[in-house]
Amino acid sequence: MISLLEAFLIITNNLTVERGNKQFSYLYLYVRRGEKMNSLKGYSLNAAALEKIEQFIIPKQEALGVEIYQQKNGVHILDFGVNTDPGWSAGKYFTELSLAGLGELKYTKLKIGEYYMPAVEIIVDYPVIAELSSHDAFWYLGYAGAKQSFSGPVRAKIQDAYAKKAPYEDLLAEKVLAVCQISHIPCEDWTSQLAAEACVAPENFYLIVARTGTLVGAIHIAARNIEQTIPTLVDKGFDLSSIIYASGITPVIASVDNETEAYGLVNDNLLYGQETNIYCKCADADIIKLLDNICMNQLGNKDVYGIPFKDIFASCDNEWCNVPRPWDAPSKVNFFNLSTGRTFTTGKHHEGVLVQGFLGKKGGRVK
Amino acid sequence: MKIGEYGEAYFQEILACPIKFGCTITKNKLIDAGVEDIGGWHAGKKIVQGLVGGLGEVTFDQMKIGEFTIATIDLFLDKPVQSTRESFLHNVNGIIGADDSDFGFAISENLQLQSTKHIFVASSTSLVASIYNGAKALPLLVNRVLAAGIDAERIMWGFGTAPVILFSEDANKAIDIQNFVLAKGAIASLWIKGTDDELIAIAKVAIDCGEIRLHNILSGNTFIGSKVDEAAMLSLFN
Repeated sequence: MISLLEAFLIITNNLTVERGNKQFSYLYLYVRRGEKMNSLKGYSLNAAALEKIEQFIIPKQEALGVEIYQQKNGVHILDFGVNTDPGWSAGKYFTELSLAGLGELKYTKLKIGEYYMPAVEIIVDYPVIAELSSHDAFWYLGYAGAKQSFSGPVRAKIQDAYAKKAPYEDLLAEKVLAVCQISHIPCEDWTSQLAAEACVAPENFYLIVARTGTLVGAIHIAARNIEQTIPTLVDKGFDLSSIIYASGITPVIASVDNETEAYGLVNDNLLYGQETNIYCKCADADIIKLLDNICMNQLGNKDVYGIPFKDIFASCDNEWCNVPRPWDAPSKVNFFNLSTGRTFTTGKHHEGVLVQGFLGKKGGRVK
Repeated sequence: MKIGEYGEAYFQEILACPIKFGCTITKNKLIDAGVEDIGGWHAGKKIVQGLVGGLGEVTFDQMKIGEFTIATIDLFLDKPVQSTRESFLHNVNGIIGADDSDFGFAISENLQLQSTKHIFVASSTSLVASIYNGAKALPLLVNRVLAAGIDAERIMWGFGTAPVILFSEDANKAIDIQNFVLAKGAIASLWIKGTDDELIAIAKVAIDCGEIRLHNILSGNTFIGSKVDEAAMLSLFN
């Protein structure tokens, strides 16, 4: 049998699928907004991510230093850094799974002040879908009074507020992947609730987790450069259908075990060190009107710009919901307008904050 | 964990299409990766990846030295102690690599080595040798830190970068230059669970590496010993 939802999709989309010996019509990826969506026809973000797990993670889990197991309720846990200490390779896979196969992470280095620092370079196809439907951490589901955000392609099925802004849905995904930066493994009650919210059986729910105070956590937050920029453009009313490609680079200044310290440092990477390239097709005027209004050194942030995020966060009682939206802004954004051939750049890096984070309170050159 | 087994896939990639990598399969299971054949960037990268057992990422990047932008070999290692001890600096009779691997690497000016393994051979003057020697910056720091008494399990991850510079067809000169590049132009970083005092003590002792950095994961402090000597590096470009 098919579900009511599938029946609706059959009516609205006129494609076929076999289920047992019967043939039904529907679009695996439901087209909501015309041609942009059609370009991803037949591609399930969740299926792509789970295939990557089968192909690259499970066979290499010992080398990667990750642990994969099922909870008693059947939910699959991929521990990339809660009770484990994996490193660079796991960080790359963690990020690419969060991008559901639409992005690639490469390691490089950036010279900041007098120091070459490790950095992550991200390239993303279908950036609006990859970020708004998957990579952004905008699915919130609390447990026992704690509020927790989740990212990953499950959001393309859940359709939270930001996922709805992308021209994509993965409603028929039978297995889903959620990504979470958290300091402990969610208990079975909680993961059962997550699976129920995603409308899948627990054994079809995959959850990949890491602490922020790990190298994987630091890498994954640094890789959130495009992810940070696109919601900012959403907030400013930029036409998302004009965004064609995106890339980004961010330093990984530090990895520290303490979650509070780590949380500050990884966000310093983004607020003061990231650089996003947006390749778009639009009128120059649509870009120009944004140029003084999207980056961390703008948006009326004169009083907070240059303050390490740990201190900013502390002033907000260490709760994201208390952080004013303008304080979560990219450091630097470049626009390449493919329609006119013009390039625009805005924002700036703050090397002082980055070097301070790299060295720590008592670090430096020793003699 | 079988580090040699993990690394074999990278060596096999060269064997599957040696001409693409500038390599030639010769007698006695030797693979010429830069003695009479030319080797190349991709061969050097695959050999380094194989020697670290795929435990991390290996890339080429660049570094500015004066007005020059020079290629670098960069290592991002996940289990730096294991790959260093068991493979990358594990040298038995001139053959480098893991005991449990059917593959090894040697720097030699000829193709006369005897081994039951497949051995990739590159001369001191070759690009492959220069890549391997540049990649040594991080493993050498691992050995330094271990020698200072830090337990292996406290050494978590590593990052290393070194310029890849080729100047001479004279083997002795080539070796001198590669050692000079390591001593003046390489950067090696380790993330360690330790105390600030023990990391400071290690950073104070000079080693033949341009700049060493010890990141204390527990305190969040980074201690830096020595410094890349850009002026000295520039002196190479006469």
